[in-house]
Amino acid sequence: MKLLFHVFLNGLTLGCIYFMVACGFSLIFGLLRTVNLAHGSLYLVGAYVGHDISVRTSNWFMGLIGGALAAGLLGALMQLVLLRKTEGDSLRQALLTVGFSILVADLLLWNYGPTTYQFDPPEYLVGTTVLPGFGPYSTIRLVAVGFAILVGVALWLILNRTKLGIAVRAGVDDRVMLSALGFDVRSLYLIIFVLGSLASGLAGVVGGSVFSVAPGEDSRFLLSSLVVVIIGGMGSLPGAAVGALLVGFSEQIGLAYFPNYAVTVTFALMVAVLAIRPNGLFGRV
Amino acid sequence: MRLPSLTKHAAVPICLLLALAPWILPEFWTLNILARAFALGIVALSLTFLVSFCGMVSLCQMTIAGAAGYTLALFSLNAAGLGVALTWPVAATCALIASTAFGAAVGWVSYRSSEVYLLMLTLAIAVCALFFVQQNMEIFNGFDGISGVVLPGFLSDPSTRPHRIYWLIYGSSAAVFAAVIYLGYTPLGMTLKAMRDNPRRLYALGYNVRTYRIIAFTIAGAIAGLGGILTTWYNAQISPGTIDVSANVAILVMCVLGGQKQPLGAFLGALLYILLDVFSPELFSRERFNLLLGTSFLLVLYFSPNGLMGFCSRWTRR
Repeated sequence: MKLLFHVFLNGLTLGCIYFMVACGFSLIFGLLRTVNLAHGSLYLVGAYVGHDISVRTSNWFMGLIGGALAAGLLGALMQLVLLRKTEGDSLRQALLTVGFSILVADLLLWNYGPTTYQFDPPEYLVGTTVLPGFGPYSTIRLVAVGFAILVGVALWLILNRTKLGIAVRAGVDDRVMLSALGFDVRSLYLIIFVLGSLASGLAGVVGGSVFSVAPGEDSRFLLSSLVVVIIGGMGSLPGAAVGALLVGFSEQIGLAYFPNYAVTVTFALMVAVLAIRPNGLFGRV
Repeated sequence: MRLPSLTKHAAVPICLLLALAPWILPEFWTLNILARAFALGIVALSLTFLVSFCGMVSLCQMTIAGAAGYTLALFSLNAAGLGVALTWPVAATCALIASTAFGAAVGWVSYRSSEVYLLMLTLAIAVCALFFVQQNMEIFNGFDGISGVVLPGFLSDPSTRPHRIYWLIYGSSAAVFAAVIYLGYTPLGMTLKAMRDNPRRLYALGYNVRTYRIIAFTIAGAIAGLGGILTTWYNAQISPGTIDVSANVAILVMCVLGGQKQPLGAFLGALLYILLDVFSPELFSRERFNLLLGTSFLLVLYFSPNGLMGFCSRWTRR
């Protein structure tokens, strides 16, 4: 029972970190039709820069902000330089982001080396918190859940309560009509790309504090984002949340009960969803 | 499918020169550059085939090739002591069947996904297969893979091996290249191209689009399998590193660098990739190979949507 509860909490926290990475990926795809295969690189850039800043300023929260901003800046750069010129050719855009991720991964490796970095969060975030009815559980993981809820609520408010959000949701359904109505679709693209990158950079610092920062994390989080949006459905915020939690749970359940084939569980989940709903659980046809 | 005219006239002399390469070029060039480029070029060709005939981009062609490689290694004598030793023709046939079946399975799983969805799905398949192979000790020997694969008799003599393995790889790539070109002129090839251009109309004409997609993936699986067999013989081993994500991305890079719209592009791209791989220490530094690769990939993709072939045809047209 205790193991089951632990697996549940681990799955929840993992799913929350996945959600923060995948929601941006999903929104970017929903509006721009760009598969950003460099999304994992944004995560890793956020983590490394955040680590640098938090060491320099010895303030974890500065690192959090700095990491998110760095990823946002890189995202803006990508959108303006690489993707704007190739708008409409989604396959070429996906390939360009592949090339970009190879480049970024190698530059990061060059600059930071193959060593693993550990964040140094403030003392009240390290250690454990006693959960009523369960016992002690890692505080930083609970903080990750909090940040995921924060990101989710913020994005939900932006999408559902602002004029920008209405335009974005209209764009997900029909981009051509939206631009015919006189909306500046291009700056909308840029805003969403930056928002998605910010969330990814934030996830980099939070995820880097829960786990660690090392080369190769970019492809891990890219893959999890892919699976999350395939399961949850493209361009849908609730889809990203449900998908992320499902992936987090299935990974942890796999790790706890048949450790050698944990990934296969996730894969089976993905194939099952695809067989029943090819556009994902929340995807629109 | 029309080749640039320069390439058409130069085709026969170039083919002959390549066949005579072991006597012309130093062994380093034939064995370490051309043979590797041709073996990987076959795998890249399977992707180019999917892209140019059907407009489908798969990110798991190296994984499919690896299915053949692992089957071959398991059905040959090997240092890991796993599998059953069979004679090489049987083992190679089994390997081809395995990769063809794997290709068909990928086609079956992904028949409803297109374009970027397909890209993501095949990437997910590649990663899951990689983790499965890495974790499985009983059959695939985990991280270490299967080393010391005993080569077939005609390759076993060390003195004649370099020439023979080059001819084997070169002959196979020429044959499979010719087969793909020929396929372009058959009714099947025409149907696949029609599906690429307008699947809905093809469906209205009474063709079962789903079946043709699976057929395309099956053919690509067989091509990739041939590449996998040759790579495994060339290296005399196979490990998860052969089929990891960067290997799959490398196949895509070759395909795009060379030009994904013509079969010849696959070999051109593979050659460029191997040249960068071999000479990057002298040009730049050993560790920064990926930087060089990523930059050239971005530049080629940004300025020429059809890779080197695009540059070539622009140049010859002038």
